[in-house]
Amino acid sequence: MTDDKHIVKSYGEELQFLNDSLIQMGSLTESLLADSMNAIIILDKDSVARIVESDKKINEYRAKIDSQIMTLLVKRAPMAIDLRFAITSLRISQDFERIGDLAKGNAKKMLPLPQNLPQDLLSSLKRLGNVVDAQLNKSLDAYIKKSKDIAIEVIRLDTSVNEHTFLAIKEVLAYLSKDQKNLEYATNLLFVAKNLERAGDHIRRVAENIYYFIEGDYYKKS
Amino acid sequence: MDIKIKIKSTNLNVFYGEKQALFDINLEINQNEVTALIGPSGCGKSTFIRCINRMNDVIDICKIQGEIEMDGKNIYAPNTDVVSLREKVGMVFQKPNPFPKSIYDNVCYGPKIHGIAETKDDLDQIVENSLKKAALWNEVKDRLQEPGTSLSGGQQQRLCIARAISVNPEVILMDEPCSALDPIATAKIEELIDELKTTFTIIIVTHSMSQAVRVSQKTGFFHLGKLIEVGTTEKIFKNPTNNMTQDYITGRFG
Repeated sequence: MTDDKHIVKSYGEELQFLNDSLIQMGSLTESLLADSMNAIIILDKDSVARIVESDKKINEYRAKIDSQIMTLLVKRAPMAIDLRFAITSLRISQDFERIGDLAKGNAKKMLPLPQNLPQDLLSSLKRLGNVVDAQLNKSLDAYIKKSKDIAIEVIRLDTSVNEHTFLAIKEVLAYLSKDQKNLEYATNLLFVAKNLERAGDHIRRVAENIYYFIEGDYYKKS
Repeated sequence: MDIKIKIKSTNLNVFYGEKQALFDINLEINQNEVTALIGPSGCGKSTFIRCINRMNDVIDICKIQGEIEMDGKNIYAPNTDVVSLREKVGMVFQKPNPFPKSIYDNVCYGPKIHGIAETKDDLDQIVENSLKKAALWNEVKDRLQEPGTSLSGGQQQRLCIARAISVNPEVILMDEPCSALDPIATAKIEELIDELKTTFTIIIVTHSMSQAVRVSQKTGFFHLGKLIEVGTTEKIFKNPTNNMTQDYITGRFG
């Protein structure tokens, strides 16, 4: 995936097609994550069915990308940067799929929640969601631009995600401590926070794979 | 195991008349390893390996500058015995080229002229061992008197390998040894190369990238007579340093 063209034009087209599929899958994952986060904040229970459908689409992309990569491997026996592109695309599509699953899971967690959740609690979850959204958006940017620097920024954002997860969990526990009857709701909200933190880990892995694709070596914390 | 350098070329320049074919080649070949040389046609890789057994000597217009050391001795020093050098450095070519003789005679020809075997029993032993090492013995042991050319392409190539190793060489040069063979015969030769490296030092010129990955530990990339990059095969094919190497192995060259 360097700028120069392949001698075999169709080989170059196949790599480009894979690149495009992954960007489409990533964009879909990004919308799904934002959608599910938004649904939780405004408790839009009607959106769950739509989110489940979007997640199915993401899974279909994963299967399509798997098949593209397998064809590429047997047909072209890619070397060097092309080989790294194929392998990292495979891994990145797995991470996108998992992020989709987590976002879908979060949307489902909203179903039993009451309408009168405390504002502080929702705000802290919203902030966490925003950080994860921004992290995913940046990782897509790194992928599209094949930028090592942006990938490193995404990796570093993981610390911020962890901090916001900690704060969100604190709010949930405060909500729980007010009334034992809140236990079921609080448990669901803990899952939401935890799922967002897990999504952040997957996004970090996406960025690490972008870094590996570019550098041919793993990112090491300096 | 410590890696020992078997062959070392230093500032090697080769000219065919006015035309310079190799430019300042500095390359170290490790003992008991397979070194693959890759690069587009006419890049000088065959010229390079032909310098190692001084095959280029027979070309009148060929002029060589620089040094090639084998075990620390310059093979272009004036007192070098070229016949004994070629006994130490065997060669296998692109197209199998058995002599128009029996399978047995193909293998025993070298030991006979080099005076390695004294008796018929010695010769029988050498023929058997060489054919076994070349993984051909079981297929031909009952038909040793049949002509070498009666064998299949892959068998002929293994016969040529048996012929090359019959004089106990230290180095085997292979110039695209599988390019005329089918995939099964190629697989057999590749497996054989892997076994032979425990005894010999092997240099293979190949146009197949995947073959270079499969058989070699070290790879050198030549282009227009220059050695562009050399490194472990793993490094060259996963993450080469030079953009030209990357463009060549990924098919973006030209």
